[in-house]
Amino acid sequence: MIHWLFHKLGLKSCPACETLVDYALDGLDSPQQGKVRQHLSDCPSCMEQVRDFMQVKEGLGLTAPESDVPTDFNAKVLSRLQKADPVCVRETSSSKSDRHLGGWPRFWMTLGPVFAVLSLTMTLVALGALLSHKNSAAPAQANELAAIGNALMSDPKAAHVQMVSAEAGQTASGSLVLCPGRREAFFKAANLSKCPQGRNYALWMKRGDKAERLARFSAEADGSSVYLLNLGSSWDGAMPAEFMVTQESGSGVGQTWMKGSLKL
Amino acid sequence: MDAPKTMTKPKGEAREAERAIDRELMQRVVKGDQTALEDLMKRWSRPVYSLALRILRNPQLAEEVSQDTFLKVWKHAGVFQEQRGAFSSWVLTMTHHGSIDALRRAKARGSQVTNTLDNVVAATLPSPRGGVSTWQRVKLEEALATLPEKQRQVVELAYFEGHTREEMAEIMGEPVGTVKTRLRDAVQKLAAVFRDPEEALSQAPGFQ
Repeated sequence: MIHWLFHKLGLKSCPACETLVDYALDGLDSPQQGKVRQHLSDCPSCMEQVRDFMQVKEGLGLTAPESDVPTDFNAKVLSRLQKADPVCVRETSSSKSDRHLGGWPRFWMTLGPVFAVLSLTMTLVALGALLSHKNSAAPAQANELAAIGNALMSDPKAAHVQMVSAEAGQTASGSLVLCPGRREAFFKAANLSKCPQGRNYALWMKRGDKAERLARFSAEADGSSVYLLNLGSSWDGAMPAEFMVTQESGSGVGQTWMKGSLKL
Repeated sequence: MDAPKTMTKPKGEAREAERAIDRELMQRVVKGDQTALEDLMKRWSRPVYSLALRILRNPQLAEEVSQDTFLKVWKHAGVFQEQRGAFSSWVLTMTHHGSIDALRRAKARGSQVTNTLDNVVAATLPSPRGGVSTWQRVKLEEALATLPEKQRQVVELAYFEGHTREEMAEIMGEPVGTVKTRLRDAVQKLAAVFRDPEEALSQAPGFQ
């Protein structure tokens, strides 16, 4: 009531209640959703109303008459998961109700050897491509690291960027060293562990609205390593610049894991 | 004098325990633990499938949407943040999105409801309060049944059939503004279920 009064008196620029209901029930298009979401971040009273409406939405979802789930539902989901991301395959307990080997265990027993040969072949091809790729990087040998790392870090023009985790609760961190005019960068990462989506990451540089991928690399299993990155083009030294380490997969650029910036 | 009300276990405590289980399972899913995903499916596949079937009224499509929902749980586990909302709300919202999308495709209306990552994140903002208890669900069903016919109809059209407000106005033969107002009134009435004093009191710590 008070919220309605404030709105009518023009004391607040809150959206109409109908709009908040539409927001909660997914009745707005993306631009409208964005505007409401922005308003909610500043308006506790509207936020409370939307929370009420979203609780109604969740409750409505639970009023659907209960139906038995189709048989082998869990196994089918896991089978689709493995086809999409075989790197994350792990043993799962088979259902106690299974009387015979079915579902995904039989799938792996019959076609497992075929997939093993195919995977090995594809890994060898990919490794060859990776080693010859200009932007590829690999954990460098100690003596090579020492030489190039020392050169980079002792260069008076070198820029040191502290990278911190982009997400609350994550512990990934790193330090990036790059030098204007040089196409190598030295990157030391900690806790950049293999995530469920894979091990491939990329280093990006962003200035204003423009983002450029500088290099790609694969994370080591222990999550901490030193990388000598071959940049696609040398960094020109212009600042300010933001740097990000993002996770990459077959479906494109994923989550940002680390970020850091260079200011003037 | 009436004896003081006693309860064997505050309802809020039981619900918080359920949330804690979902939270723990999601933390394991983020680390790539498929058995945690299996456990989440054991807990939530039934309400997910039930909602999809209610909307789609087609067991095959409903199963497909339900499977897609759990694959999204796996894929976007890192995006979901428990502090933003209950897992129940997130998974049911994704089910709802997927079901409406499939319904529209099946009806060949040409609508482009996409279920992109942005929508997955938006589904968690803002967080509702601590999920919905069994008691609240029962109360909500009662409240739905007592809504005036036209208010019940707009809720059905908006939530279970995914119609736009313009489509709803056309179906009901009324102006869009009237439809929106009616939906607002219906949702506000249903929201009162979650502000019931008895329920609020039962969630107070140490209530006896």
